[in-house]
Amino acid sequence: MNPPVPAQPLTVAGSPGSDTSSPARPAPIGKPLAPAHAASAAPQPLLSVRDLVVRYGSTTAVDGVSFDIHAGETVGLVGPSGCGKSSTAAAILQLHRPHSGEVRFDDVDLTALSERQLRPIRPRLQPVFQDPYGSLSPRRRIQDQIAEPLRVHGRWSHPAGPRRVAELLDMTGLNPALGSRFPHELSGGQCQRAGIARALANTPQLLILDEPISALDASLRAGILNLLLDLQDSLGLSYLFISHDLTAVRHLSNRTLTMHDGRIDG
Amino acid sequence: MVRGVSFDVHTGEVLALTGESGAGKSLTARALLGMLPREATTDGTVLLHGTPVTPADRGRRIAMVPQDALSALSPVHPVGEQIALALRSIQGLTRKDARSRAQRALAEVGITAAASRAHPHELSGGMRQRAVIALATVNTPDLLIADEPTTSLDPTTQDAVLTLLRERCTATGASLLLVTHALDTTRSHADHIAVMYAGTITEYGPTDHVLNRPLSPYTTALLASLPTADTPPRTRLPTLPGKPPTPGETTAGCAFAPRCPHATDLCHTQHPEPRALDQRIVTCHHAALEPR
Repeated sequence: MNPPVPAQPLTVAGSPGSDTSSPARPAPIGKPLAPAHAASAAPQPLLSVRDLVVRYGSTTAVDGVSFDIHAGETVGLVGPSGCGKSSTAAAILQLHRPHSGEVRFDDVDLTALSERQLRPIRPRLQPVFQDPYGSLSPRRRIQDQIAEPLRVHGRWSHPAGPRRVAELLDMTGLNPALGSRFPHELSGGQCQRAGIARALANTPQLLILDEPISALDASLRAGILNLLLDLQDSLGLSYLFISHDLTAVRHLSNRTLTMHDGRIDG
Repeated sequence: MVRGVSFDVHTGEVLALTGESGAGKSLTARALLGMLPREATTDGTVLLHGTPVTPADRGRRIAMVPQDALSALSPVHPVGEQIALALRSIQGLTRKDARSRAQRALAEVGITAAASRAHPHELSGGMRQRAVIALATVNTPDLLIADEPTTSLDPTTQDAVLTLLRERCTATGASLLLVTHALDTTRSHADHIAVMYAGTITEYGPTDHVLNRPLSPYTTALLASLPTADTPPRTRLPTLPGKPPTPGETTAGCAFAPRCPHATDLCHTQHPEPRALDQRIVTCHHAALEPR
């Protein structure tokens, strides 16, 4: 497991001092669950995927995929339907256990961990899904859904909890008054923002964005892309950005990987 | 829901009807086909070569390619048989003639004789869409209405299916009304484009003019918000404030006024009338050729 390192906010190369943008962040909720390595000059990637193989029965969906994502970096993943993009995402998140290969996150191989051992690590890598309505429960208020990750990890308290929820709504460009609404009362773009707010609740280091703008109308896409860029600058997040929209991927990513038939081209 | 929409589709051309969800694209397409929900009421005229369209023209002079081919085809009959049936019922061909003609129609869209005996669920999404295109064009309609024909396909197949769709239209002499929300598909596949917003057409004209020199503030803002190959990476994109109105919501003035950066008092109080400007029709109080 992770060695105890003095708590130090993750800083991104190229955006010095950006971590001071929200001085009112409540402690301890706003701090990462496990402190990150000081990322300054360390060449150590945040995520390192090696020879990943994902199988469903006899079908091989991902066939020996390897790549790294460094702190503060965005890696784009593009390819046709069925090429294994989403399977790669599910395997990194350990939502579907890979057949073989390594998924090293902050130098810990997640594939070797039990569900119980994974639990403290899960908040640090979070997914954002395609369908903004489908990723939220239709029966619960937005604020309760954003609070859920805090409750699940035993970090809910008064008054810090509600304050953190308000802060997350604000960070994702949502009016705090929307917190008491239900998903059907929000637009697709607002739901997608709520989904991002929920993913950010426990201060992750890596977001796996699986087609986050594909289901949105054209006029709302730019807003989500801008939000993702802003959050990356202020929080030093790393992204794996999966999409079939090549221009959007190029716009957001430092590097782009192309998948085909379960392999990364070139 | 849809108000004062007027456009022409010229013989042999492709007109794209585009806009965001809820803009009234599909409703307009369905109105042309006479396939609106029972509670809908319509006003206005639809003329095809100068004569009004009647429900009897459906499948004959006017045909449709739906978005979801799986639900448009019968699940219990092989695709070849379904096309033969369309030929027999519309053109009165004999069983034998219909079968060979159906075989030929499928071959024209790249479906082999073996695949024509397959049931829809046995075919891939792209193949099904090809079969529906064959079904829609087999009785040589004058106008083909394709409602988001490639939205459920993956991007690499999309272009191939659209190219085929245009090819079949050219071959059969049909005009194509292409309903799509994807502006980038219209760029490469449409001669003219009509941009809808909140039930009206805000801008209508040659594709090149509308996409490269937009006049309506909505088209301008929408195009500016989409990253292109020339957009510097990681720059913040201009966004449209607010959200589109709920379908059916009526405003005193221009429906886009609440989100428009150029809106004036006039825009908030009076509906703009469509005006001809630079080879196109723009519905905006302030559209002008000079850059703002």
